Amino acid sequence: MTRRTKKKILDVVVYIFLSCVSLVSLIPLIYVVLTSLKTYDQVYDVNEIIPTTVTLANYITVVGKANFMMYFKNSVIVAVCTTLVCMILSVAAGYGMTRYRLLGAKKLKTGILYTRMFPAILLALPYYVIMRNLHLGDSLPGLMLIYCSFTIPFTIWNMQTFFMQIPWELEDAARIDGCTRTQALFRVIMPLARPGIIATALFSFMTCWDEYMFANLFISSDSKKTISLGIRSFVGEYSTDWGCMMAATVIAMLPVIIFFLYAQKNLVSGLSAGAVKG
Amino acid sequence: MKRDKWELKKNWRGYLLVFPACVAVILVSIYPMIYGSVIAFKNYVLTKSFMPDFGQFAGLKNFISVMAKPEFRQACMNTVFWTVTNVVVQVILATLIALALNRNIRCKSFFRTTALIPWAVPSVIAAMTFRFLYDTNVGIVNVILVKLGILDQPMSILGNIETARWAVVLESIWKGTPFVMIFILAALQSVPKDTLESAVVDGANAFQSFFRIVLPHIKGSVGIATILTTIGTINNFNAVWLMTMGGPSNSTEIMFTYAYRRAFNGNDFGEAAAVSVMMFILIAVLTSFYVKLMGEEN
Amino acid sequence: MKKLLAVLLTGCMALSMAACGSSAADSKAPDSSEAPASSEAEVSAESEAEAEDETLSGDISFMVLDSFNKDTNPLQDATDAFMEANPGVNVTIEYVSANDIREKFSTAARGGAGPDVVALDSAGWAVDSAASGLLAPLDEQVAGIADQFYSAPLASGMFNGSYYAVPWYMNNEGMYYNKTILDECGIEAPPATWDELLDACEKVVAKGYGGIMMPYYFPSYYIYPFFYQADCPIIDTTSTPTSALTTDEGKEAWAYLAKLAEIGAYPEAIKDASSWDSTYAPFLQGQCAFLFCGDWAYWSLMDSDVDYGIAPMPAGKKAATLMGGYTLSINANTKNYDAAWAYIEYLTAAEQNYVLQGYGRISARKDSDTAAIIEATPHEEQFIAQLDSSCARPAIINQAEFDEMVSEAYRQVILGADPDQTLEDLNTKVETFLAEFYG
Repeated sequence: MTRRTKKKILDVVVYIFLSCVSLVSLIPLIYVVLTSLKTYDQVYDVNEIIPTTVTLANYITVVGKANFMMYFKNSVIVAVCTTLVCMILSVAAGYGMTRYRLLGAKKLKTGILYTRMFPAILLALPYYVIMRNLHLGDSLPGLMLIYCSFTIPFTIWNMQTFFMQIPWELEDAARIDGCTRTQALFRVIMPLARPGIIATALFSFMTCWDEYMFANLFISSDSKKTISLGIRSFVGEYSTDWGCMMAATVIAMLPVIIFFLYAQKNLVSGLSAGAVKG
Repeated sequence: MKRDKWELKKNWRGYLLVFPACVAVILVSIYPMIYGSVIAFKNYVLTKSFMPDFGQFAGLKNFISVMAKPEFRQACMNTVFWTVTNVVVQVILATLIALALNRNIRCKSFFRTTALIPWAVPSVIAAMTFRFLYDTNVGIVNVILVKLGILDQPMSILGNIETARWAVVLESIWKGTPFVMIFILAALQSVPKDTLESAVVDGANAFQSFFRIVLPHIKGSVGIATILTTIGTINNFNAVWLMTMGGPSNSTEIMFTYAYRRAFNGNDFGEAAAVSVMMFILIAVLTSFYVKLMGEEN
Repeated sequence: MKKLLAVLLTGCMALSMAACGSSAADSKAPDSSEAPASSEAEVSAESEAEAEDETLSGDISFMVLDSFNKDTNPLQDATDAFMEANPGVNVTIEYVSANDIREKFSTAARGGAGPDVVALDSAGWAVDSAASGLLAPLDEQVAGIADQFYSAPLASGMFNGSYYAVPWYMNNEGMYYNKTILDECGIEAPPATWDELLDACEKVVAKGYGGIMMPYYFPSYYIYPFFYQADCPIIDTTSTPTSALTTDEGKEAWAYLAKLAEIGAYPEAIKDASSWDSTYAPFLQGQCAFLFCGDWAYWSLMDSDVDYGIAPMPAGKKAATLMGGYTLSINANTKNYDAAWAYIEYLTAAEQNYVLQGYGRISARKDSDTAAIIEATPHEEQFIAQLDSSCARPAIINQAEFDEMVSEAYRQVILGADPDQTLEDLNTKVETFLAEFYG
């Protein structure tokens, strides 16, 4: 077989493989969307797995019910603020750790990795105490604090890795050309680090958006619920409103998908900058 | 000595930049962790709060009592199965997908986006949706299996010991692979093209190119992805809890869900903390092992 | 560029100050649920200091199930009337899902906050909360009204000899049956004894239908009545709690339950029953003959095509069923003990029975007008008939853990484990468990 034919066969195999992957990835999502268009009776009906009739009633209920959009707003606030705080702290730390020779930098980096390993449940009780002492129980700022606690180590670690990949030579060259250190930072370094920053911000946002366990433990008032709690709230005492829950899910996924599409280009290049040497 | 001091002075700006982050990490991460770990060494059964020994130092009592329980031992074994299966399958599958996406094919963007979708789905929803897909009566999996004749009658996939663990593992593989895939894809794209091309000119086939040239280059990324996936898998609560709650007959119970159960059903935060400490040690050991392995390569 | 850095830093500081600011605002909010932890001694001292004829004032919050949040809301109406009668008091109602209410309350209370009044399931939640120091004792107040309520719900709120909860509503377990399937199998009347139930299941399964649906995710709810019907108290609480599982009566009940599993009375679909609605589903679809559940299933079955009836639980040596329901308690952290108590007293008074009727629930008061309930909601008839034979769950601490042990043991039997061995193992576990708390 010629090399060209080999390549063609391989290409076909690849196409088939990727199509299967896409199908498998999409099936649950398709199911979510389909269910969001069903009525309560259709959900448990075997013949209606692919619904014969569809309805938008669930979406109207979800959006119309003032509460859900409030949960959405709460999630946005928490996720955006946490991401902002974490990114600012970690970009500063990442830059500081790589551009200056600091004692114990390597130990710090490993130490941060270790903090990621802690099972979250262990932290539940200490957080009760902290929340009580700071009067932050059942509040969004309290939740943000908790989210920061497990997001910051990750973002610091990531940013440090990215900054490490950016060659010093570029910065030196800029400084030789007459820039101050800060100017070099913003004109040369930041653009290079941008993909990494965006990728890390996306990870951080997604972690907060998706989080359920701590939100469930620490938020009680309805007005402060986040979106993952809101979706769970459709699980009623005696019956679950699947249609509405799935409609709510689709709505909840919209920001993520949007952020995603925007960050996609940056995602791969952002990770490749940091991935080379790890 | 004098030189170190001079270094310190020169680098004060660096310390300043790092300082806020350090303080944040210490206050918000490290302090709670220490506090939480200390509980593992105390009597902390909440419903015994009126008893005199509540909150008192109890040495290794929690650790011993937990290890005596057969449910815990099973949870440990399940955790090993859970972690190994997840990590191995996810890394291999992700590498394959990344390799496929790295080729010059049409619709690459589309395939890449759809491959990433499971990552965008909230884990709570992914778990609940999969549970629905596995449902005995209305789950699509059962419908297909019966139509294909593999099953005579629908069976409860999550309710039977033989099938439950695989079903849950499948969900977490579905959810976790995109994350690993994007890491590896990024690394693949930084492999120098000319090295690859010259290898092809020299007569290497796809396999040889992969193992001799590509793999060494992406080792670092694969390593990181493996570490993060291991940590994430051992700490994956939602997948197991929301699909089977550790059942049937504890066949899907992992250390994390066991700790949760001890805390919120049994009101014993001491034992839950003990299990968590053991989880932490496990993860730390595994991670150090990986880090060392990668360090040696470098 | 330096400007940008400055802006970022300012933004950072502003953000953190905003966070501090809003948390300060939160703690000053009129809703007292953010109150810092105060010791129980302080609370009772405060209430003793207040003169009895002082007008009530303060803000209190009430955490209750979200199934009470309907469009026509008798609970809110009653609460509005209460606020009118006591102008100084402001009551906020917080609706929480039944799946979360226990955790929600205990987390908040442990953090020094939480609602002033909370509705807890009589399945030992009040006992555990009291044992964890989260509830305020109600001895004086309840002693005055104790005889107005049934004894079982009253007992479900006692810990260390003190009252911590006031009974609100109760329900019990009944047997829903599919008339069409029973007719088809030649069964004329719903089974009234153990033998009849076994016989009915065999016939039904032979015809290809499912037999019994019960909540597989906590079968203890279904198992306990059979023990009571065999005259076994499950745990003997007359003195120090001891396990009665392996007494002759206990073994009898367990053997019967094992037999039901053996003949395949439980359809495969039961293994997916991880919530009430997945428990109803096969019954709703007309695929199985029996559903063991409380009066609330009626609301989900209302719209289905199934021709069903409700019957009392089949009797063993005697008739018995499991009592459930909710009680009202006061948070130990409350700053408005008097207002909270007044609200509880109000809600559980005879005049407010219409509230529970509005939700199709049976009051725990002895003097509730059962005839009126039956008239308003006819399906309650069989449940009310069982009120006298309703038994509470064993009154022990960490009841949830105990329930889970029994549940897991029975699930294993359904999955094929040897019943005798499983019962022995369960008994050993239970004895160890009891020794930990009462040994």
